[in-house]
Amino acid sequence: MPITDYRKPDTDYRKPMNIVEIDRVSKTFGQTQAVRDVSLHVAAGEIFGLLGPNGAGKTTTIRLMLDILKPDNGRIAVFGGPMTEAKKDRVGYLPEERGLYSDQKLLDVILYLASLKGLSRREAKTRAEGYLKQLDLWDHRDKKLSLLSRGMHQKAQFIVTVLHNPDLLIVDEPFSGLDPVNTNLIRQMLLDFKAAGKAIIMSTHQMHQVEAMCDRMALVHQGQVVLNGAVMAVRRQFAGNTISVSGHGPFEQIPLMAEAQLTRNGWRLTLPDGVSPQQLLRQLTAHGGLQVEHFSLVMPSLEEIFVKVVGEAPNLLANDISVGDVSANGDGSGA
Amino acid sequence: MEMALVRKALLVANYEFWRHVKRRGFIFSVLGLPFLGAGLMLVTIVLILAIANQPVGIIDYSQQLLPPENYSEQSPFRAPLRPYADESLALVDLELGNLQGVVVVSANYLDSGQIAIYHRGSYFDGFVTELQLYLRTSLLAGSETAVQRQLNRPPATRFVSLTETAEPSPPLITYMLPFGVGLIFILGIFTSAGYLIQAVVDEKENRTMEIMVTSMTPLQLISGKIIGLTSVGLLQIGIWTGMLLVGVRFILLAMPEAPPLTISPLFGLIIIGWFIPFYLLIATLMVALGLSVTNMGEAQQGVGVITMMTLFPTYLAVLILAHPNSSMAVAFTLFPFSSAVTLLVRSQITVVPPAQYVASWLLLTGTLLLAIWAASRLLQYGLLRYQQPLKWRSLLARLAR
Repeated sequence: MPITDYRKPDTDYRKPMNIVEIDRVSKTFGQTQAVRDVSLHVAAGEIFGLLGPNGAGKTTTIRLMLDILKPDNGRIAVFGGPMTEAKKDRVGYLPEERGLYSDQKLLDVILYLASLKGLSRREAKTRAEGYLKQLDLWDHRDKKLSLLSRGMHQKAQFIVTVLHNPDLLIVDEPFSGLDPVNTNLIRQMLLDFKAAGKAIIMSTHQMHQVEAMCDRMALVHQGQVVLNGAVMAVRRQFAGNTISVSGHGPFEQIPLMAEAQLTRNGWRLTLPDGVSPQQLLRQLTAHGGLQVEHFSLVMPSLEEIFVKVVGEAPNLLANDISVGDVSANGDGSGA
Repeated sequence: MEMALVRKALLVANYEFWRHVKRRGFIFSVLGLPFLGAGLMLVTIVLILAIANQPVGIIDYSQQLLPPENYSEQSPFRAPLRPYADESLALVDLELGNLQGVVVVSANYLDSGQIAIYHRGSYFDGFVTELQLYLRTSLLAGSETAVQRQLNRPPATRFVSLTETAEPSPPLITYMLPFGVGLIFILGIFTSAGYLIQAVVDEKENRTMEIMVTSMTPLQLISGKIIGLTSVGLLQIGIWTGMLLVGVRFILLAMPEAPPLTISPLFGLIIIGWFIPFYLLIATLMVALGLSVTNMGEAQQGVGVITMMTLFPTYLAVLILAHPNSSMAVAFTLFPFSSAVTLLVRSQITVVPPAQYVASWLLLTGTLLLAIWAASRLLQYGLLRYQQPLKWRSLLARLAR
């Protein structure tokens, strides 16, 4: 029986489109509302960061996307419609909790799980060899998983996630247990998948990875999306009016500033309310005694934003933050 | 598309089957148990024969008995009788282990009938029976041969039944073989059921199930596991039954005087019609149990209850064999957890009314369908309940929904 290859471009999903669309989805377990009115979308060729503190509802949101759970309300579309068995073959999922058969040999487990995704044994073997060599696991292919280190386990799980070349990758803490070398390796592989047009949803607490890799992000807290938008736009939104400047001259004498602080790399200038960075830049360039070598808006890290937003959650929940090109509910429709 | 769905369930079945069959523990248990049983039996037989064939010393103070050398020539008595003049030398030989016993026939044996038997605590029971035969033969020596012959052999009895079943009672092995096969089936069923519940609980605990259901439906996953692991059990049952039949055949070959073994054709029908649904019922219940609990400790309690219900008829096997048409036997025939074994045994020794077959089968398959329905309702609910205690209220609410 020929194996159906769902990855063939029999649909037009490769055109710029939303691979995942979640529209006002809610899910309750008993008395606990795990997900509340969540809306977001993920497009092909982008890495979307799904962030939030522990117990925020990220995993439930992922399970809803994967059709492991059914929403109480709202609509979820994956590849343009409800999840089907055929579509499952186009999804790769790396859960936070590692779940491979520890009493089985590495290569056997990889081939078995690949067969469930529709890959022929021959094809799976060829691809597995490539990935195992790339991730330095080839020599361990005949070892039982229980004998592998945590990092090796993580890499094995990553291979299982990507072996069938999915169009949608959902990775929960993909760098967990990895050393810096392997972290870079996995990061580069994820970026390669992105470059190949795959949609990637990445849930992680490593904010610097989100900054470095994600195009857009959503911050979930207490089951709700409290922050949603392009990563740069989010950071810019939280940047405030602090400018980093370096060069030569009496920067502290510029009249528009509320405060000037000399740092190791130059000056940190805080603008008073009502004064824009553009006004300051114009003044600096117009000033005859100043030579400006560097001028930039001081951007807060995502970690700072995370702490700030989650810390101020009660207020934010009442009025969701929208940043950049997304709406108040973060549905990406601009509505 | 339907084929793709079935294909995934079969992939799971194939993987689970080989994963368990290749385990050293499985190979040891499947091959080891029958070989261990056969080995123990062989050792026992060899030991018994070794003792039984040891000579028995005999001191005949009465001078009334046949010379042992003459008696041994005309009797199938296996333990050779060795004559001694007095006890002293015989008891030394007994102490040295050259004899299995010493028989001292008193001087006034004809009046008192007194004899003494010395032994080391391991003498073979059979030698007492053979001794009685020797004494009887000796006392009757010289009398009518026909009388002696009749005394020395069992009566040729013909049983005439006044009930509908005019057939003579089948030999013991006819009772025991179905019972043995039934027990093997139950053992196999619970072995694979154990694998099944372990697989479900383990995969829930280590989250493998979460990965699996991103490739297939929970129903496909569970179906695949049931097919694969019940196949493991069937393989085990097949090997054990085959070995049992081979063993029985060897025993029968060694006993040419034994009556031929006859098995009712209903045997096959009951294996297919009752044991397969029963197998699936237990497998389904184990899956439902695995989905409802969080660890093997909790699961064991449920397994214990199901095992008790299933093995109950075997505890009362003697009563069923003695009274195959009693109310208790009928009740066990109708009770889904005991119907397969009870019916298998009853069908070999009595005529079970067709209505009981029909009612028993309907109750068994009805219970199976109910269990499948309940398991499918629990599937989504139980799948992701990690380390959460079992809440009967929410469980029942889920079933009622």
